[in-house]
Amino acid sequence: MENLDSLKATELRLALPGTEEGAPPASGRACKRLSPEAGDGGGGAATPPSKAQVVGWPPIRSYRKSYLEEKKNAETFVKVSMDGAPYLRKIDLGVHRGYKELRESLVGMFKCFSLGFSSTEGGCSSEYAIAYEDKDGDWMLAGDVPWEMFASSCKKLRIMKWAEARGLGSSS
Amino acid sequence: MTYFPEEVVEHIFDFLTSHRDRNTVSLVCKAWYRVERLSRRNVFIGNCYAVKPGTLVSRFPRIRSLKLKGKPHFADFNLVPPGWGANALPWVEAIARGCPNLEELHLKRMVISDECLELLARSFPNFRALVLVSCEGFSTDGLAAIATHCKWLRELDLHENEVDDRGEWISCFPDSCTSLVSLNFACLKGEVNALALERLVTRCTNLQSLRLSSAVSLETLSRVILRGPQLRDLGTGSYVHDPRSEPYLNLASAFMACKSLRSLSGFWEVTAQCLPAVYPICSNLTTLNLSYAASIQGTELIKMIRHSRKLQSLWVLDLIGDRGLCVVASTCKELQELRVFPSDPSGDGSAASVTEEGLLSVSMGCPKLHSILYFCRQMTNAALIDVAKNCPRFTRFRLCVLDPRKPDPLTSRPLDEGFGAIVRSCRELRRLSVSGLLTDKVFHYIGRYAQKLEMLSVAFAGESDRGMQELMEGCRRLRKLEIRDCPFGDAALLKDADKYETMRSLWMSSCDVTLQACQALAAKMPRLNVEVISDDGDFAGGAVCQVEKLYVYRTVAGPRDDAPAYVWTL
Repeated sequence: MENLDSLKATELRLALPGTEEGAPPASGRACKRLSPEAGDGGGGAATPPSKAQVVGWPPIRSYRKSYLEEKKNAETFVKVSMDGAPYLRKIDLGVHRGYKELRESLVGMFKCFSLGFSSTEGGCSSEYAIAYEDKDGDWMLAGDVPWEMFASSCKKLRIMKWAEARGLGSSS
Repeated sequence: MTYFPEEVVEHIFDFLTSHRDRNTVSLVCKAWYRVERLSRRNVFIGNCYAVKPGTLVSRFPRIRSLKLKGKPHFADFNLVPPGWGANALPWVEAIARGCPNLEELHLKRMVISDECLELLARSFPNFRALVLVSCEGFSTDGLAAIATHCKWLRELDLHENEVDDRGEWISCFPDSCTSLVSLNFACLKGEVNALALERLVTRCTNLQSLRLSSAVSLETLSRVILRGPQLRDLGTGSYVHDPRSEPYLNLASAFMACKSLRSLSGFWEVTAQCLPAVYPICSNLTTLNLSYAASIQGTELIKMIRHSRKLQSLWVLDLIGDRGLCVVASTCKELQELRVFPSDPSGDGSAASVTEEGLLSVSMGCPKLHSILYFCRQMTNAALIDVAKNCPRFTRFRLCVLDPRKPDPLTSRPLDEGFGAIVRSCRELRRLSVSGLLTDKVFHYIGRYAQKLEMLSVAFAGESDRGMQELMEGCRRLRKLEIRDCPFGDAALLKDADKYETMRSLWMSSCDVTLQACQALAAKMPRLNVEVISDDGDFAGGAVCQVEKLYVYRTVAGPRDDAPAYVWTL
C-alpha cells in the first residue's frame, strides 16, 4: 500500500487550503473508495464526498443504476427554433416514429404564430424546411437519412424558410 | 412419538412448513433426524459458502427445491470486485449426481454460466421452475437451452440479471410446451420474436404472470394480452405509440378484458398519451411497479395513482414528488409496502426528488404500511419521530438520504433521535438501513431497542468503536450486518467474536479494521471464514495496515477453494 503521508501532500481535497481535515473515517484511504475517474479526495466530515464519485452510492442495484444512467444520457428532447417566432420550443424526438409525425408535431407547436407553417401530405412544405444541427455541429436538411439515424444525431431543430434552406446540405 | 412408524412421523413433519421448524425437529433425536432428512423437499441456504454442495446432497437426497444466495449484499452496489465467486456450477453438478428429482432452483447473486444452464436443463427431467435474481455470467444461449429441454417448465423468472444477448430464444420453446405459468424476461435487452411470443402465450393457457422486456412493442403487447386475458401479473414492454392508432385502441380494449390483472410493471419507455388505456385496470391493482418508468412525469403518475385505490405495494421513482406521495396517502388506504427510488442517482441534486414531507404524509394516510424503502434528498428528526408515532408496525425500514452524512436541515443536528424514535416505536422491526449524519448515539438506541432486528445496513455513520460495540451487545437476533465507511476498528470487531457464529455474515468496508485484528479473529474462531479483500490484490502492507474490505461468515465447509487472488482467507 502507498505511503499515506506522501499521498496526503499531493491529495486534492474539497476543504479549504490550510484547514486540517476532521476525523472522517479512513480519510487517508479516500482515494481507494472513489471511482478511478474522480480527481478529488474525500474531504473531512464537513464536506461529504461528492455523491457522483463515491463507489456504490447511492445503494441501488447496478442493473437499475445503469438503466437510469442510460436513460439520462439518451437525452431525446431538442430545442426547436422558428424564424420569426418570439420563443423556442422543445420537442421529444423519442416519442416520434418518423419524419411525418415529427412534422405534424411541429406544425401543431408553431401554427399559433401564423407564420404560414402548414402541414402538407408527403412532407414537402410550401414555404418552410426543417433543418437540424447534428453531432458534428453542421446544419443539415431533415429527411435524407433513416429516422433512427436522424433521431440519434439531432441536437437542435430549426424551421427555416426554403429560400435560406437552399444553402444547406453542402458538405462541411 | 417413538410409538409411531416412520411414515406417520414423516406425515406429521409434512405440516411443518418453515425451514426453522424442520431444522429444529431434526435435532430432537437420531430417528427424527433421519425421517426429517429423507422427507425434506425444500432447502434454503442463505450463504452458498456456509456448506459444501456434497453435504447438502448427502443429507437431503430427496430435495425438490433449492434456494441459494451467493455474494454479499453489497455486491449489488459494485463493492465486490468481479470474479469473487458464488459459482452455481458445483451445486448443479452435485445435485445432478445426487438428487435427480430436483424441480426448482432459485439463485440470488450468483454466477451461472451457459454450460451450467445447459447441464441444469438436461439433468433434471422434472424441472419446473428457475428463478434468477441479480445473477450474471450467462447469455440467451443458456436460456435457449432451458426453453428447449425443460419439458414441464412452469416458471422462468429473470429478475434484474446481467445477461449477454446472443440472439432470439423465445422461439426455442417447443410447440409441446404448454405448461408455463410464469415467464419474466423483463431484464433482457435483446430482440424478441413477436410471433413466437404470441404463439407461446396462446398455447400456455395457465399463464398467470408475464413480464416483457423493452424490446417488445406496444403492438405486440396488445396482441399478447388478447391471447392471455387470464393474466394476473403483467410487465409491459416498450409503451410507446401513437395514441390515435389502431394498435393502441386494440390495446385499450384488450386491457378491458383483463379482469384478473392485479399486478402491473414495466413501462420502459412511455408515451404519456397512451397511459389512459391502463386506467381501467388500475382500479383492481394490488401491486404497481413504476420504478423503471423514467419517462412518466409526476402529473401522469398522480393520475395513475388516483385510479389505483386498492394498491398494497407501490414501487415508484422520486419523480412522483412529495405532492404525488400526498396523493398516495389519500388514495391508497390498503398500502403495505412503498419503495421510492432515485431517478437521478448520480445527479447534482437539481432533479425532482422527495423529502421528509412525502414520507410523513404516507405514514399518516396509510395505516397498514409496514415496509418502506425511501431514497430522499433530506430528512428531519421531527418527521421521523412523527412517522414512528404514526406507524409502529414497521417490519422493514430502509431510509437513504442521498447525501452521505447530511444532517437534519432544520436543526443541523444528526438524525440519531429520529432513528431512535423508529426503533423504540417499531417493536417488530426486522430490517433497518440508516443514513444521514449519525453519531454513536443511534447505535446505542438500536442496540437497546431493536430487539427483533435481523438485518442492519450502515454507511457513513458513527464516531467510534463504541457504536458498533453497542450494536453487537444489544441486538440479539442480528443475522446480517453490513457496514461501510464508518470509523469502527479492531476493538469493535473483536469485542464479541462468538456472536459471529450466531450470525450469517458481517461485511465491513472502508472502516478502521487492521489485518492484525482480522488474523486474531480468524485464529480465535475456526468455524468462521474471515476473508479480506484488497481491490488490487495487494496485501503487502503488513499487519497494522487497514483492511479495505472484510467479509466474515460462519461455515461448516472450511475455507473456500475458489477464492480469487484478491481475496485472502485468514
